[in-house]
Amino acid sequence: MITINFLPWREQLRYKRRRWFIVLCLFSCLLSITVILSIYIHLHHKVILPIKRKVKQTPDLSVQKFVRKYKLSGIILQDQKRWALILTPNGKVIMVKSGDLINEKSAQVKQITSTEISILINNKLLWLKIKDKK
Amino acid sequence: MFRSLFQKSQQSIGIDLEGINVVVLHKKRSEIKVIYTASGECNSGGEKIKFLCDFFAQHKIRSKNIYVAIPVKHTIKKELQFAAVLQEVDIKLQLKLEQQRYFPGITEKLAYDFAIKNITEEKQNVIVYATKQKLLADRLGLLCDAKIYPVCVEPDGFAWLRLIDPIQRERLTEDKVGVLLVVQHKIFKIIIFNHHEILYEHDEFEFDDVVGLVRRNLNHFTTSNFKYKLNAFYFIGEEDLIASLRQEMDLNIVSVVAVESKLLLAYGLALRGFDDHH
Repeated sequence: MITINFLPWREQLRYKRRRWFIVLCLFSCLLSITVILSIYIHLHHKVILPIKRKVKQTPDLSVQKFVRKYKLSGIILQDQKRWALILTPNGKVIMVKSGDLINEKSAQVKQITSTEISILINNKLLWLKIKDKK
Repeated sequence: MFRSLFQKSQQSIGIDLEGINVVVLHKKRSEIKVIYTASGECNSGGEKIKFLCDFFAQHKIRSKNIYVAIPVKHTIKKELQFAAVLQEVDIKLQLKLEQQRYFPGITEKLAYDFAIKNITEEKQNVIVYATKQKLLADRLGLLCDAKIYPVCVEPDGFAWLRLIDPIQRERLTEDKVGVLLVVQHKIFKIIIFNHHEILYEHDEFEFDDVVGLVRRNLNHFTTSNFKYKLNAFYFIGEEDLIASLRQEMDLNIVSVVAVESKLLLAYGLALRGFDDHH
């Protein structure tokens, strides 16, 4: 059945307005999502990541401290067995083999080669070379 | 959820300004319910405004889906032919500029609306409804005073037809036509229609012999429209009349709305709010 309306513009206007309203709602939703996301990204990069970096820097510091305090003074090779001689901060020389813990429990000797040893501190692998012995 | 956003509002209001009758419908999950109705005997414009203001304030109605009718006696229906290339905007403009050509003898400004009936390669047949702008402005002014801004003003025949089951209406294709008779509250109305349009419409406000009126109108229609077959009769009004119509005219009345209510027109108007076609 045909439809007649002597005020067709009013009906059209209403639907136009409604469509605009819906478009506006969707746009504002999109905008708010974008704003929230950008704020999150900003905060993540400017605030959260530096904090995380700082937290991560702690093992690095401990590694640096370790390098400063402990020196590799020599390596003893006997057949397949290897020992490393490490000079501790208090002036003592300790002899360690791979798998031993050095002073602090977080530092563990992983590998001993003829010139250097690798030590695992806070999941970071550190290499001490024999030339450091000065 | 989003679909409902794009759909029409779930509340629809029909206002019958003749005597003032209001029906508020609410649709929920394809179920239509009447939530508020009001009927008043208002003669002056001021009374009507007050009645409407009170009704809207009392029920806190905010929906702007308001539908109003204009009686058929105030409308002019014409079937016009335009070139097929013309767009709706062009037709609108042509009707406006050449009013005298299409509606000779009417000097007052007219408000139009039209629907395209069919299009061939060269021509398009357009059904145009027109009403006097002053009359429309008077009605709208009355509603505006009550701070009511309707979205639609349509000829009342369409509202009456909405009371008939749409499935039954859709069956009236090709040369089959239906007849709707409304006899109630000193109103006699006959509408002859098919699935697409209203073919004939007549109102009478002072009458005695309903059977004679029906017979006269049917004769009037059939003499000028040979190709149509009167297929189904629908009746709205007092039950007593049905028997006499059946007896005297041997009419095949398909359905009867034996409800004598002033609200029926407003109800039909409000139903437009849930009409999927517009």
